[in-house]
Amino acid sequence: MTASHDRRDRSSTERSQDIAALEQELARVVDEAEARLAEVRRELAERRQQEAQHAEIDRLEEHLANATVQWREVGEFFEEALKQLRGDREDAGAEPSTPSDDPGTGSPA
Amino acid sequence: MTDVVPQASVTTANTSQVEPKRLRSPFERFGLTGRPLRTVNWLGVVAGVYVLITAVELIGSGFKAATGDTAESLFAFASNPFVALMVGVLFTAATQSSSTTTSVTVGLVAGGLPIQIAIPMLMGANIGTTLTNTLVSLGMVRDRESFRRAFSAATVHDFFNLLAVAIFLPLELAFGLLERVSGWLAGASSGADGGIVATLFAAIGTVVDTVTEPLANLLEAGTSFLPDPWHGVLMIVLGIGLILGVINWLGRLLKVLMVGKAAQMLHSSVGRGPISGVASGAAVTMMVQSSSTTTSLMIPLAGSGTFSLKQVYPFTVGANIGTTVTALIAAFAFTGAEGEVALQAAFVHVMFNVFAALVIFGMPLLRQVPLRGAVWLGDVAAANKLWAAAWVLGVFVGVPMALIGLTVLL
Repeated sequence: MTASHDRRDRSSTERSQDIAALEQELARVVDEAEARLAEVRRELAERRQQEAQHAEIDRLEEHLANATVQWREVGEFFEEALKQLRGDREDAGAEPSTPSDDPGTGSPA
Repeated sequence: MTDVVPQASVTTANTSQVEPKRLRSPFERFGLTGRPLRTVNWLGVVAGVYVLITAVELIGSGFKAATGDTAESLFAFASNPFVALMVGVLFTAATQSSSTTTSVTVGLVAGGLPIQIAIPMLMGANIGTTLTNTLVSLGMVRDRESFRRAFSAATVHDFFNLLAVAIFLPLELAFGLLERVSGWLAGASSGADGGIVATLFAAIGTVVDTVTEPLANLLEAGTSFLPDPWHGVLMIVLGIGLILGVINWLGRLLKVLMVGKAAQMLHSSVGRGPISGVASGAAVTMMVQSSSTTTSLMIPLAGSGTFSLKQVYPFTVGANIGTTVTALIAAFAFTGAEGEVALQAAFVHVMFNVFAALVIFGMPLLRQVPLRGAVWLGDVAAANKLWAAAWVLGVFVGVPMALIGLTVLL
C-alpha cells in the first residue's frame, strides 16, 4: 500500500516535472519564434524602406529639378509665422481680461 | 542600422496628373538631342570652367588694382575673425552658393587678401550654404510631421557646420592649424621643390593661365575706362557676376549630364553604412558642383520618411567635402607665388571640411550633437513655426548683421 502510494507520488512528481520541462521548452520555442518573427519583421521593414529609397532614387531627375528654393512657399511660411506671432500677442493681451482665467482679478475692458 | 519610419508620398496627391519636372539642358532649345546634345553639353561645361577660371583671375587682378598694396587696410573691418566669418555667412546666404564664395575668396587671396582673413570667410561659406536646404524645408510646413522630419534633416547640416566652426575657429586663432596645414599642402603641390605633384600642378596651371589670359586681359581692358581704384572695383564686381552666372550654368549642365551616374552612386549606397553615405554625398556633390543642390534634394525625401535623419546626416557631411572641388579648380587661375596662395586658400576649404568630418563624424559623442540638435529643433519648430522663423532669420541674417554692425560702429 505504502509502496504503491510512493510509486504514485513519484510518478506524479515526475509528471509534474515533465510538464514543467515541457512548458519551459515550449516557452523557449515561443520566445525563439517571437524573436525570429521580430527579426523577420525588422528585415521586411528594412527591405521595404530600401525598396522605397530605390524607387525615389529612380526619380532622381525630378528631385534634382525640384531641388531649388520655392520663394512663394518661403513667403507663405513667413506670412503664417507672422500671423501666429500676432495671434500669440493678441492672446497674451486678451488673457488678463478673460474672466474665466482668473475671475477674482479680472479687470474691466 | 536603418530607422523604419512611416512612409508617405514625396509628391502631393495631385502630382500623378502633373507631368514630372525634368532637367533640361539650355541647348535643347536648338533642337539638339542624343549624342550631339551630350557633346555640346560637355563643351558647355568646358566653356563654363574656362569662364570660371577667367573670372577668378579677374577678381585677383581687380583686387590688386583696387587696393594697391593696401589690401589689409581695405579689409581692416574683417580683421576681426568673427566679422570675417559673418561676411562669409552673409555673402553665401545671399548668393546661395558656397562655391561662389570660395571661388571669390581664392581670387581675393591671390590678389593680396591675407589668408588669416580668408580662413574665417571660408568657414562662413560653410554656414551660409546651409540656408538653401533650410529654406527648401520651410515649403513642407503644411504637414506637421513631414515638416518636423524635413526641418530636422535640413538643420542637421546647420548644426554640423556650426559645430565645425565652433571647434576649428578657436583652434585656428590659437594655433593657426588650417593655415599651417594648407600652407604645407600648397607648398608641396605648387612650390619649386615640390616634386612630381608640384611639377604636374605647375604645368596644368601654366596651360590654364595661358588659355584664360586673353579673355581676362580683354575684360580688364574693357573696364579700364574707369580710373583706379574704381577700375579694380568694377573688375571685382564683373568677376563675381561671372562666377555667379557660370556656377549656375555649370550646375544646370552637370545635373543633366551626371544624373544617371549620380543615381547609380546613390543606388549602390542604399542599405550600406554611414561611410558609404559620406562617400556618395561627396561624389554626387562633385558631379553636380553644388552642395546646396545635393542637400536640398534630400529634404523632400526626408520629409516623406523615405530617408531617415540618420541616413541624410552622412550624406550631408559628404556634400561638405564634395563642394570643395570648385575652389581647387578656381585656384588654377594663378601661377607662381599667386598660385601658391590661391591653392592654399582652396586647401583651407578642403582641409576644414575633411577635419570636420573626421573629428565630428568620427567621434561617436560629437557625432550625436548635430543629430540631437536637429531632432530638438525639428520638434519645437513643428510645434511652433516661430522657432523655425527665428532660426532662419537669426542664424543667417540677424546674428551676422548684428556682429558686423557692432564691429563697424565700435
